[in-house]
Amino acid sequence: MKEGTSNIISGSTIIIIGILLLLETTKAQYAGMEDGLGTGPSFFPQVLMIGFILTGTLTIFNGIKHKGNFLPRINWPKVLIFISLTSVLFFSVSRLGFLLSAFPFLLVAMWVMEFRKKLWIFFISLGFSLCSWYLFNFVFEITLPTSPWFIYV
Amino acid sequence: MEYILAGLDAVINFRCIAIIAAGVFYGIIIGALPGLGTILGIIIILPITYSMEMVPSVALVLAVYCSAMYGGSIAAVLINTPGTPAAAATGMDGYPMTMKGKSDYALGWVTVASVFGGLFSTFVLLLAAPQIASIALKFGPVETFALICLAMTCIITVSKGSVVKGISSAIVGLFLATIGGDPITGDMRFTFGYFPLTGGINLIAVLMGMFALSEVFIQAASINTKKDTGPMKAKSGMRIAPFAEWWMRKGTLIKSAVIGTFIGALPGTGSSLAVFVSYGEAKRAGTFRDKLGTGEPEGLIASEAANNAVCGGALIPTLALGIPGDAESAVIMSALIIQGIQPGVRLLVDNPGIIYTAFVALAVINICMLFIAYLTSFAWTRVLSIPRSVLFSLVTIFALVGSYGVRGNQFDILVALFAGILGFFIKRAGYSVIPLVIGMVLGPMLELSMRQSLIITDGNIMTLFVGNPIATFIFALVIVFLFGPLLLSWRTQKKDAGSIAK
Repeated sequence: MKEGTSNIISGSTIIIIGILLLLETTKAQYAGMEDGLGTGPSFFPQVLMIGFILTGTLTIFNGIKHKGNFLPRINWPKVLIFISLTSVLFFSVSRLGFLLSAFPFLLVAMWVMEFRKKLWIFFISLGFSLCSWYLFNFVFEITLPTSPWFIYV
Repeated sequence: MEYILAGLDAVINFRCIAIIAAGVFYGIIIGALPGLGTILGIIIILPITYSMEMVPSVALVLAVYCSAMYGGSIAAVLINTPGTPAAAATGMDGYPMTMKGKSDYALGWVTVASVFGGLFSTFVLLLAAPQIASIALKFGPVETFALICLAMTCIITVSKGSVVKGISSAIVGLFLATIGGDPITGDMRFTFGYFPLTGGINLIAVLMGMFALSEVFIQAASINTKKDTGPMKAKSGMRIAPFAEWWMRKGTLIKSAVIGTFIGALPGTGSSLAVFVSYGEAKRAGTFRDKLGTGEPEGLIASEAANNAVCGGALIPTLALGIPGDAESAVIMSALIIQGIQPGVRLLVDNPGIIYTAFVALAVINICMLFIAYLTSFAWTRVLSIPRSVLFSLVTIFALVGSYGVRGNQFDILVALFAGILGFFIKRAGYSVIPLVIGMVLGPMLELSMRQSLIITDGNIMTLFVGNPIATFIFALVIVFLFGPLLLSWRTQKKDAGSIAK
């Protein structure tokens, strides 16, 4: 994809989001309590959204005017796998608890990131998950998310 | 002078210095670990201070406060995971230096600039605390609004490539800050009936996502060969640049310390505002302004000198006026009240010795920080000898813990995830995430002060801009900063066109 095309896409997205949020500010709940000077809850967001739509329009014009070079190639499969893995970790941590989510995540993540020393992967994953769990739970007394099956883990 | 000497006598003894050293060591660790932060660091040690005498307990609390502010920059420089909004500015030049294999120099610049900022503010406080306090009292909503507008001008200067994209990014940040309760009326905005959004979007979770997670995704995207997964080029420890290098950047160093001290003294502003005003000023008038954002030490100096100068400045409203400007100051104030010290206007009149002892302790803390930071730097830089494939997997866990740790709210974990994905895609589309963070940090203050100002001036915009000498002066600076570069480039273009025509 060329830079110009990317600008047209991002500019269009900005305009659509800007219009949708601007419409949201016209709802009854935003007109609730005015402070008497027309600067109620909708005032600041409306100013922002008008600015957002303007910058989106300028970005589209820029994209049409300057096509630019191709964006640098990236390893899409790798990044999509990693984003999915992180999403699984972030969603599972509230259901399985920190330790039971972090340990398997690290095992798989290091492998996906091309680290191939199996024994090292195991010990680093276990050691790091346990250390951070202990440090936060017992030293700093910040209780990390726990699993439904154990009290502390 | 007698108060300063009495302060020196109370602080310069083995017991007090040992307590300061322990506090500094602990504070650096707390600051460097994402998700803990200064407030939690002070709260954890508060019970220890109950049984202490007044001077060591005040020194311990201040040591943790200052060193945690400094520690936040270590993670920002080494792994692009800023624990505080202020450290985000440090990462803008610190992390590129690490990527170039200059982490040792980056830590050196950060440490010395922090210590200089801290010592400078202490020195100013010792000389002119009452005078600064009286000026700070003149800052109402209109002046604060003008000051925040000044800080916002740095968005223009930190926008890499396209100013329009920088402004778009800042608007996203400002919008994110509006989610939740309205600051004046309390009405819910942009919650779409989803309950967790009523508490707003947590800034630290956004920082974790935008900086740490998006960086992890970028690293994953760039893995094409085995070589891409090895350790980063890094030298262990800390190295301080030659004096000539510092001399070339002396203007930014002094200016940033002045900005940090003054903004720190204004109640309700905090280190983020000081850091962004200072960085914007370095980008506008610094010796190496064109290189800022690419791994230029001047950027580190600007953010760190201002950041640590705030520590001293913030003590003025806290101790001399009894107004805690931010959450950190409020915790410090409560620690003082536990010791039987009642901060306020009477403290400066009835018991000035306590204030001056605190300032002397601050100076000793900054000197201690230099040595302890140097000694611990060898351990911190070892982090970079870990292969990238392992390091960035661990950073993901840090981002998770960091976003969760602040409020213990599982919704913040999801915010960090979405911020990470958004950060990856907007960086890919050529947008900088820095204006977004600036917008989000300054957004609540900007909206509140703007609306308060409009209420005060009865909605009269002219009165808002010209009805107040301090605000008018700051607004004039805003106009110069915004349009000055445009005017200069227009004149240069005109000159060039003229010479070509000749």
